Amino acid sequence: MNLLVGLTYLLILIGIGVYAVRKTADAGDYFLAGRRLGLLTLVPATMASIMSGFVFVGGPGLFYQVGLGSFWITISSSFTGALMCWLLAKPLMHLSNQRGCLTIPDVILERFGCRFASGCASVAILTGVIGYLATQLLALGILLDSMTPLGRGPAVFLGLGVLVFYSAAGGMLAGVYTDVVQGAIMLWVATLIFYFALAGSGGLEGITTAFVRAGSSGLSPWGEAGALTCLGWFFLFSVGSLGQPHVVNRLMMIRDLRVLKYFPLLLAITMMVCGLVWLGAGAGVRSLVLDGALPAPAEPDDAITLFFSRVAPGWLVPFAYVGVVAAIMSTADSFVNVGAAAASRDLARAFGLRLERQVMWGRCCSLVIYALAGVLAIGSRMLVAYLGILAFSSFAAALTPALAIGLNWREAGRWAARVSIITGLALSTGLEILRHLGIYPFSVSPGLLALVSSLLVFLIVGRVETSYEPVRPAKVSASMD
Amino acid sequence: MRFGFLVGSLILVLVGGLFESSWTMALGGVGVLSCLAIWGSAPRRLVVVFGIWTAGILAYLLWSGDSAPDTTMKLLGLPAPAFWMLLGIWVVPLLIWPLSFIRDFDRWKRQ
Repeated sequence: MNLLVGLTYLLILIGIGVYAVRKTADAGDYFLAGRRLGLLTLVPATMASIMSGFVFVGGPGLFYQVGLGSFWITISSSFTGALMCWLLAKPLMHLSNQRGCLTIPDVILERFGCRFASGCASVAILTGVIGYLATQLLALGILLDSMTPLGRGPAVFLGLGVLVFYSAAGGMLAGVYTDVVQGAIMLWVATLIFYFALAGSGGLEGITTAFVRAGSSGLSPWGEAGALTCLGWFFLFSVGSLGQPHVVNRLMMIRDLRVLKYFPLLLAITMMVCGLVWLGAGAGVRSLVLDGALPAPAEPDDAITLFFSRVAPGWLVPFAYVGVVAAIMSTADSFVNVGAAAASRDLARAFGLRLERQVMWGRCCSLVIYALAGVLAIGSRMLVAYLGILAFSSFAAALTPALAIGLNWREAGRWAARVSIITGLALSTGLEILRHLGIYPFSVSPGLLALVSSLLVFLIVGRVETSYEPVRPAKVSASMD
Repeated sequence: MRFGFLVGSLILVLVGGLFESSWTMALGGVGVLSCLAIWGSAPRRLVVVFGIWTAGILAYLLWSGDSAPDTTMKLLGLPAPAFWMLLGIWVVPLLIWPLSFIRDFDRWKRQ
């Protein structure tokens, strides 16, 4: 049954991939889905690109490890959509439709008139993409390992093969079409997982009783992570969401600003429904383990597979697996597309190269990115959620200042963009390395320190720059009007 | 003015993070979110309501963590602080932000 449902699902994705390959005529189709998204495609496509293995596998795992405090990572989902629209929608849509920008580094080049800043943004995007893709592959490995009789290696290759086919061949068009299907599956599965998690563990009352009886502080607002860490996650993920290229580039794909009226509401509702997996499966499994009804999982990340094998009803299991695989794949294809664009167009341009046959180069770069992410996924010994936080932080620290403030603050110039992107990238990577080596001296998330520092650097350099260069170049001013 | 507020709020978050003061970080973080929303032309009334509401909920949560309140008090089966966290930071902002965006949409589009 598992195999039948799984194979049907993969065949549907391949069918969509074939359809998208036929419809992909140029780079605009490949990188921006032809700029023709309406509300009903924009919402599931955006939600599916955000809600990933990080939420469906890493979330319950982190809840199992540190309790309710982990939920601060996803709690801002109810308002970040509106914040993103207010700050980014108009300038991004304008730069895409009127100036022909296809990617976030294109936007930075057009806004700041600086090839170096655009190149640095491409490097930051590539770094984050490889990290995030490794998160997805790691989650996929954990899931397929427990799902198929093939064994972890062949199962990962099977999933990866389908992913490579439809995302590398069909580009963003395939990504968006499959996201719509995957988003619908994710919503349905998330609701069922939450329902059966509560039903299997005695409801909220039963979960609370199990935590209290075991003397665990896992259901306090900060869980076992502590207030400082949780607040750090909250601010990192709420402000940093403005610098996630695979999410904000969806705003460059819309056909009309009117599409956005109900977008934040629908996005928030769909993301909150997916967030129920984090709460339900995480709290349910931990309470059952505390009660002695379930054995402790070997790794916290195995919490979701433990739920599937021991708590969920048999008929739900294949669909639940497909739902989680959908979450992983839908995000992975967005990342590959964004990374391929950064490597084949933007980085090449930063070095003064102009590649012909961009779609072909985009496909080649997708394959290289998959290979690098695979190596990182196998080599990393981090939990899925921590690997996800690391990747999120690199995007957030490097790109949020130039996008969230730079697209709204006319006076900011190229030096602000250059220095903040480099600061964000260097600090998010450097501080994470220190933490990995055990010599990071602070309790707060390294990503938050990197984000706050790069925002401060952008504002301060921008203000200094303004006093030396009060009039922006004509091209930059035009892109802000 | 928004420039000064944003820089000040970011410094509060930085100081709170480096010197392990959750209260300072919470205050700075709410300031950062509010300043960014204003920068993105969100209605000021919304930002004021959001700022006061979020700061209030965070203050309650920090206080409840510090003072170890009676955990036997439950709301909808959850310990009271967990309930207020989910209601105050997760559910209520859904009513404040996206609904305000819909209400303000025509003004924002014309702007």
